[in-house]
Amino acid sequence: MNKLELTNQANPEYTLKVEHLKVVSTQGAELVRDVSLAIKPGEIVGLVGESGSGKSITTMAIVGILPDGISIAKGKILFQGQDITRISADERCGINGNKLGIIYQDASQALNPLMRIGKQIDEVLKIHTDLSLSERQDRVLGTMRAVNLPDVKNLAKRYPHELSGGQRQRVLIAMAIINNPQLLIADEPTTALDVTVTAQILDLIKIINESKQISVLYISHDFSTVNKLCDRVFVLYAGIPVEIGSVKQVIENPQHPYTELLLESIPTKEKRGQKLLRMKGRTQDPRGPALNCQFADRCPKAFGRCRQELPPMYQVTPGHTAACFLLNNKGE
Amino acid sequence: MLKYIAKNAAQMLVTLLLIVLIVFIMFELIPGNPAQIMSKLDADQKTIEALEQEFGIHDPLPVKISKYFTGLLNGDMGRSIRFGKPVIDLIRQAIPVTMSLAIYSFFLIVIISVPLALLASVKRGSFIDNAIRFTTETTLAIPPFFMAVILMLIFRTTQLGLKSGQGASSGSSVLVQYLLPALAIALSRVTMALEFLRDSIIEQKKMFYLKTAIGKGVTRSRIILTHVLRNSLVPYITVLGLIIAEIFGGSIIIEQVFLLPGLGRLLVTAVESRDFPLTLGIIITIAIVVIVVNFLVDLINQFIDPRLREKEHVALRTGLGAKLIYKLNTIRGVKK
Repeated sequence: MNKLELTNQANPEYTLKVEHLKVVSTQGAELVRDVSLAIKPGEIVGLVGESGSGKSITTMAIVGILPDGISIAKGKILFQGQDITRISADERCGINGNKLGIIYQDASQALNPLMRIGKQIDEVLKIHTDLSLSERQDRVLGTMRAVNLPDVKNLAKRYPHELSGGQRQRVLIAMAIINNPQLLIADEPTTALDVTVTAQILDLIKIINESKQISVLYISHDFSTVNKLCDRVFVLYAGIPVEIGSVKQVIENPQHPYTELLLESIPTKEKRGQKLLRMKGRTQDPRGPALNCQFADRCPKAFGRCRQELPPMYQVTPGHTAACFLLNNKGE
Repeated sequence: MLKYIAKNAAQMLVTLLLIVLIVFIMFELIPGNPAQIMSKLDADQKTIEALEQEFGIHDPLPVKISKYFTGLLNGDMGRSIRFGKPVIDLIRQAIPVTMSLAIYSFFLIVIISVPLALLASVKRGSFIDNAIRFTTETTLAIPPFFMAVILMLIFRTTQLGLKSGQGASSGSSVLVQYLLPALAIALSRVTMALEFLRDSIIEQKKMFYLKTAIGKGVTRSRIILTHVLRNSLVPYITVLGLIIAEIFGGSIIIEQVFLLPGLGRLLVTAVESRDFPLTLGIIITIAIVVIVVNFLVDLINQFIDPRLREKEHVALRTGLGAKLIYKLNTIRGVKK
């Protein structure tokens, strides 16, 4: 907290605040239409949606790795009060890996195959700190132990292909947290892992969050992992948030038909023997501006107005909002 | 490691044996009697027969081969028919020339190709990229001997080239003496190296692990130098190995143009005069160089890419081989 006050411009209320973010491609496709989200210090926020919902693009915009031909058209990304949408490459290098840690989904691709594990973790310290070689080594080994990697001294000398999937993911986490960042972005960190390892990794993220008070932005398509990990959740559809609330509010009382369908398609004990619900159709390829409810074509409850107007956010209960005209009708 | 080298040494010996066999058979098929060529036109039958006896020309093939290998084990490659000296001495004289030429042009190729490939790949599709590729493709299309002539005209130092006819150690420093021949070789071969490195860098730049590096806050120049360039080296080194082997056995014309008494010129003389022991000796020397270079390339690549050390990743290697052949063909296509 001290650090935050020192920087003066920092906003103590939110670690990360995204305001009306719009990301477009050069072909004019709107990949992210209007995303606003806020993460408080120490909070774990989930960003849920199907492929193509814009959740990955949002992350890329925050980290500053949007591919060529895709750019931020509108909006702000405030990281500790500083707008990071238009910062220089040098400033970006000062933030990434230092105050902002990133974990990617496919750890087998995310590590440099020709560099020893220890050296890859050490690179973060080499760039951002003035520590001596031995100090860095101690910290690398210490962080590797902290993420529950076994036999760290030996492992640090290994190459990525000699590690298991879970170990690689832990290496990525070690790399992301070694500088004690304020925010950890986890982009589907468990998709490539099996169930038991997934649970371990989620536990690890939770422990990191609690012990170091690091805020976490957790991106996933899987509500069951979000349920285990997150405090609040943003449901994204076609580049627009359709439902926002605490995990409890959204899961126990989903208001948007899309959230309902997402929740119903999770297999649970109670649904044993029943046919799982399959959503018809798929996310549309984003094209021009959104003029109506983007989910209308797939929505079982859609009516006339859904196809004519874009629904605004309606409040359900304090802290719980959803973008659906059904809520308007309830209110009337 | 020792086991690996031992296993490879055995393989290399077998390769060498096969090469010797093939050369032996080929020389059996070539018409002409070396004893006749060697002796004067009016030599009588007795002299010729004596020579034939000495070189064992009428021995059956297996006897010839076994005799040859016994000699080879004692460091004896026989006596040159044309020069009347031991083959091994002739080769020993020629090797420094060709070796200096090969190493010199190798360094020139590396010095030219690495910065240009980096520039071309980083500024991919730009004017600089196109200019670099156009220029190098032009130099590829110019045959080395013609390149040599052009260079001579440009530098006007033909005298220097003539002086170096006495051997590597005479006259001005080796660096100056060999500059033009090495440059002629390097310019005609640099394209292949450059294209390989450029393509490899472009491929590595698409890799996902670079996103992790950006996420870590690694600066752009550091990403290119410590991550991308190093990871692009395997195909580049493979092609460099091919090039150095090619220079060793194929700088015949350059050695002729610059009057350098290297292996290439010796080989031409040997073949022209049906000097079987000398030809065989030179071919074995070149074969040993090619085999050793290939082995070193393998070793270096395994040092760079640890995945190549493991059996399961053989696919990676054969995949590389296939890519290499494809790429070579496309580059040669340019030449046509």
